[in-house]
Amino acid sequence: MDAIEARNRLESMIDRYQRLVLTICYKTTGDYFAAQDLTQETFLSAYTHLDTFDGANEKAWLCRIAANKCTDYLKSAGRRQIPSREDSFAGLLSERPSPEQQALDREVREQLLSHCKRLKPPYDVVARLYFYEERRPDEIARLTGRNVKTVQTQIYRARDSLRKIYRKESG
Amino acid sequence: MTKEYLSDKELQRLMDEAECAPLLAAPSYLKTEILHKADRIAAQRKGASAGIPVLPSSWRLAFYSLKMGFAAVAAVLVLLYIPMGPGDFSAFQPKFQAEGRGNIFTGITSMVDQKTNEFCGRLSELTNKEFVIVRHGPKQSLQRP
Repeated sequence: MDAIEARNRLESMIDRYQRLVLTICYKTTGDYFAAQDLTQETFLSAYTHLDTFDGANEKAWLCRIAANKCTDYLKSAGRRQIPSREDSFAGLLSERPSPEQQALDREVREQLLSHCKRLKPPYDVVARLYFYEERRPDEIARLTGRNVKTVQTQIYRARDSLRKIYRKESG
Repeated sequence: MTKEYLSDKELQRLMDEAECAPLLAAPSYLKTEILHKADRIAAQRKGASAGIPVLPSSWRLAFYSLKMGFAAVAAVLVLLYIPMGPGDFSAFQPKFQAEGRGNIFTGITSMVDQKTNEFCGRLSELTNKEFVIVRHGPKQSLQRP
């Protein structure tokens, strides 16, 4: 498979399955930014191993990678509690759809906004514009009157700070 | 410690349950970032297959830090030993002529040369003071005073 074909295939997988993978990762870890990182790692792992994939069941293959990455994350160094497999996935396996799940997206976004506001300036503004409003770095640079590279550095630092906030909250 | 991954049945159940509930909306930058990283991986692979050595990122950071360090040292030396700003040479003309350094340009270079020699001389004195050659018969040994 050549590079262009592989990239197109990756893009197609992202379009079709990123929400499913992100949801699985978020519900497993309870950490929004960890879920994003794990989603990225899942698709990049799939991209690097596309040649070895037989093409049988793409969705199951991606979900398998995501679930294994979540297991590795939960058992990595620094986790105070190492949950059993049942603990990690019990809520997801046995839980029925409830009114709370209907508002999942809204709840996550509200939590994200409140965490962005906790950051020190100028990272609070940059974090809100990039992570909450999902604007591009060049748009943010234009709005804030800063250099694009400066904005990218601030996004990187804001993400690091938000990750720490989420990690502290999830324990 | 072995990691307990999900069995195929458990994985299928996980997927079914996740799809029953509303899925979380993925932020737009997530796809952009994944594709950007994938392009970097592809570029690294291309470089590796063409025989171009790809240095680990820690090595590249170390080389970059060294270059920045040398640039900073050079900038400090220039600031220390060339004390005048751009274009402001006229004030030194009488001084250079009085010291017999000739015109402005030869004066500046000779001043830099003198300062550099002074600095190296001081450095040599400091290092020489650290060690004293003590003669013990036919052999010589170095020891600090």
